[in-house]
Amino acid sequence: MDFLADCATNVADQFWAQTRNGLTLGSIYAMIALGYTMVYGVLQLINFAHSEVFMVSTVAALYAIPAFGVTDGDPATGIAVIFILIGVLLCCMAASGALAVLLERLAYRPLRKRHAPRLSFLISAIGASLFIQYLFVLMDGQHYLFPIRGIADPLGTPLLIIGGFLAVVAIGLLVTGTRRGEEGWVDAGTLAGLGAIATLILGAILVIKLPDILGPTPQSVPELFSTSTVFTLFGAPISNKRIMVVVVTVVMLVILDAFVRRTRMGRGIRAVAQDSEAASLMGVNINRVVVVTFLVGGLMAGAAGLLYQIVLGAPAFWFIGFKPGIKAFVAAVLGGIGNIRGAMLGGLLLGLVEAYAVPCIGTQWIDVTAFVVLVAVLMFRPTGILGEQVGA
Amino acid sequence: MSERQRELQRSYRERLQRMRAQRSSARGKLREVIAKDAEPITSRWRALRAWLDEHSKVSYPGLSILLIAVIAFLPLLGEVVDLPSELDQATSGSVLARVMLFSLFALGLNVVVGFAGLLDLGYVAFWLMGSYTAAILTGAQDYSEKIQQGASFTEVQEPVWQMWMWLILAIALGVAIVTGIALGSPTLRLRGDYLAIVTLGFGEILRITANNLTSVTGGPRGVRSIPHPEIRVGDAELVWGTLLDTKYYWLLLALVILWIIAIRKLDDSRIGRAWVAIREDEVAAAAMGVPVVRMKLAAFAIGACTAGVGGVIYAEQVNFINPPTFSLIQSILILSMVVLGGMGSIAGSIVGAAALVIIPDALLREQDEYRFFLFGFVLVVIMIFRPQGLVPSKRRKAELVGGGQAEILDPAHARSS
Amino acid sequence: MTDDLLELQDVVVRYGGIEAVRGISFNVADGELVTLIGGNGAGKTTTLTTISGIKRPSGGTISFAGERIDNLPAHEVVELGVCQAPEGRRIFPRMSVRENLVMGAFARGSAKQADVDRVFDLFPVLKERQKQAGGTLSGGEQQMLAIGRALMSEPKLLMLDEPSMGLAPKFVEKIFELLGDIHSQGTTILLVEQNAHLALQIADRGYVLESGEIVLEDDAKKLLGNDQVRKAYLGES
Repeated sequence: MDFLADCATNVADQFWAQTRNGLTLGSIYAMIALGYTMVYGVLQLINFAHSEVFMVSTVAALYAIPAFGVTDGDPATGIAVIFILIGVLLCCMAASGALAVLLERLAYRPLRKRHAPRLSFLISAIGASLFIQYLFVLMDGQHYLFPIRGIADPLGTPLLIIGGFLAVVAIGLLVTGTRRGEEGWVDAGTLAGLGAIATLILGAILVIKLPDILGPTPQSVPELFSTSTVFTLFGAPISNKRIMVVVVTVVMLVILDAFVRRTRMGRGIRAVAQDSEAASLMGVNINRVVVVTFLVGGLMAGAAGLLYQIVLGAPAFWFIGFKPGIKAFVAAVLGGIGNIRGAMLGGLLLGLVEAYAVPCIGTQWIDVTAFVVLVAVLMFRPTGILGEQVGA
Repeated sequence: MSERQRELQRSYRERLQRMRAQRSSARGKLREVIAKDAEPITSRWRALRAWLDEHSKVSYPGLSILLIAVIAFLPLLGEVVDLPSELDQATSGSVLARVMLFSLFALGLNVVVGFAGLLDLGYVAFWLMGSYTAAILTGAQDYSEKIQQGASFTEVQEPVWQMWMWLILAIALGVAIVTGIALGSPTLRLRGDYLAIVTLGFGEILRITANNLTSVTGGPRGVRSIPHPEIRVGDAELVWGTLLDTKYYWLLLALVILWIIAIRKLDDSRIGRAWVAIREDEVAAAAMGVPVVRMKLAAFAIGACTAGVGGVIYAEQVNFINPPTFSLIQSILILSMVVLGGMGSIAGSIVGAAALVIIPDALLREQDEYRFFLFGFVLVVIMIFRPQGLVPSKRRKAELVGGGQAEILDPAHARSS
Repeated sequence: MTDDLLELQDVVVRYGGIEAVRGISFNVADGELVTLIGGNGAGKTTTLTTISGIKRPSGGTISFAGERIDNLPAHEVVELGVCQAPEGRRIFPRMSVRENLVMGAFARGSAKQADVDRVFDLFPVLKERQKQAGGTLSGGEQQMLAIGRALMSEPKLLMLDEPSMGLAPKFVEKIFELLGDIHSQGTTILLVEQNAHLALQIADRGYVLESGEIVLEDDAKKLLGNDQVRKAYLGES
């Protein structure tokens, strides 16, 4: 009982500080969890490679932040912070979104065409995850996967601009949706072509440019802006970075919730999740719904990746996606997989549970917490807190 | 009126039953037909596949013995004939011993994934249990700790192998089985994709525990001086040496053969058929009286004890273990072997292990990054183009090609996007 | 081309090696109400799902308003104005009644309040329950919702798959009355039914499907009087 008593006093001592930590981490989990839950809702498939979608965002931050003129030891100040933050955030989201869509195309759609069993999807996802991780390991400057470093520089910048432009156009069109018969809209084939070209070019830039930017060993990400305490909550200092995490998360979640509930595409996603055949009888293009679902999940993971890096100052590390990825999955199950609001709730809860566990069991055991929570949830309430309401 | 309603109800119920019956028979037919459709059209392919199918299950004892003899002779090949350096490297005792070690692991995981259809992503946990059991029981952990604390090499006795230590194999087997059942019983009721994550979690938990429980496992510094095995009967003695000793290959080969015989017997038994039923349709299997959870547990325990035994030999061979040895990537590596070879296929497990150990070793020496990069790629490509693996098991192939429990949306419903 | 809205020619549909539909041909003219009747496993539902583009025919052609639609993906068929109230109703269970209706207009873009109101006029019950989740409605209400949802797409051709299935006789009569109304307002309807008696009463023409083949076709009134039909489908001896 000593342990429990110690635990209680420790938690009481650090309550506000740990609440703060839990909420920040939980926000990030929640955003990653959305990707798992949405894909699960639409395809009843766990996207094992989602942690890599998250990872790519942290890699994108590595070169997006310097691209906006912020270097190590020279953080942005004043109003510029907001613009740079938004710029970097969009870059990271674009990178993750593109990877998520690519994953769907290359690792999942061929299997869907063949009516492959579930196990095949999981293995394919594990393969894709491994592939992506080590692709980035190979690009870390020590081993060059493609010996084209020499031609990188003269081509890099224009390609970056063209590729970025195409990516933005493609993603924009994809989200607004195109329909036959409406004048002035690009048709689906052109759109897919555009998207493919844009992702190819972006991919090529990543492959070519990254070793140059990173140098021979992975560098830590430059600090985007310096930390300062904005206010103190019952003795726990709340920094501007943590406030930023919560604000960005809330904004993203509100946008997502509105997207899923209020827009035509969002209704399509929910319809496919509830009854895909009936949805296609209503005129829903299922493939597009699947792509958009992966895209939206990717965008969220992209935002989460940047926030994770800013708040924890985590170095760029190719396996960085694993832990947050797996915990976000736990969060999704905790909230009820397939349930979008459940993922949000589950993320926050898991973040808090982990934070409150720190004073009790110490940081070296903290990663066990998530798995224990997962097993407990699956054993006692396998449908999660809010229930496994796919598409709700 | 009520009479008419009852009438309606009855006819409706009948109609429903008839519909159900029709549907299920149609589905069975459908699966057969799809499997047939999936046969490649070109005769060359068909011939190759027929050859593979025929040879994936060597049924003549004479042939088997010949094959075993050839395989056992492999490491000596370099001494007899002049081999190109790549081949020489590939047939060296240490590489072949690794092949056999991973063959053993792949055989074990194949029972779980291939036979019972349970995706276990934490298979390394049982390997860890085996290795640490050996490290602790041989006294190596105790020794390492004392050295760590500054004892001089003369003060403490480096552990040496004694005959009773062969018991460790049996103990490790027991420990692994108990671990398997302990991990399995709360989780095996879960749906397949949840099971994957939970097993992954357990693997990680065990690794973290090994890392943090310094007093028991030695923590991050690991355990060294695990003694090499030996056999002494009277004057005769058989001593295994360092990592490179070819005798490890023969020891592991013997274990692999033993395991193949046992697993094949299992596969052909009632248990094997129960696994097929579970894989095909769990609910139906349960309805037919198959004790689903117990059968799954059996698969889990068999897989676990295989890894436990392999873990013991591994620890004794390499002499040194630490927690990072047992990272998730090893589970995935072993899974890749099973998948590459063909899920559910015994010969496939060996072929998969051999391919994934030898090819990277001969071609990309000391470049793990390339190896894992390629593994990832190979996994995706195999799932897309040859989900049944290189040496498919006949039973499994029909399922993997024919769709089995597929419920994932068919993109053909909406092709343009 | 004639003025047929929908025309099937020698359509064959296979499930693996089994031919569920063995080369059927029929047509629905603009403004008609045509019914396909037949027993279990006759291939009625398969025919409808094939027209909708969910299943692909392995032979024959399907044209709508003179244009071939047998190789179009399902959502494009819907966009052309072919809408189906599928077998088993297939309501979106966790969407509200109103949202279900709005989903019906998905192919057209957005739904206007007036469109929703029109369905509410047709089915006042739905108006009362517009905020309720679709899955909580009773069977009859769900059927109304399914029909209403299909009407929301303003279909040129409305296809209904066994709207009477599993409903109390009182509801069945009501729904058929409504179908008659919808038809008289100018919507072309292809109705698939087991309840041959009711279907033939409101239909202009009928086809009898047996084991994937059309065995009879005639005016609905004549079919009602046909001995074979009476024996097989109307339960008279």
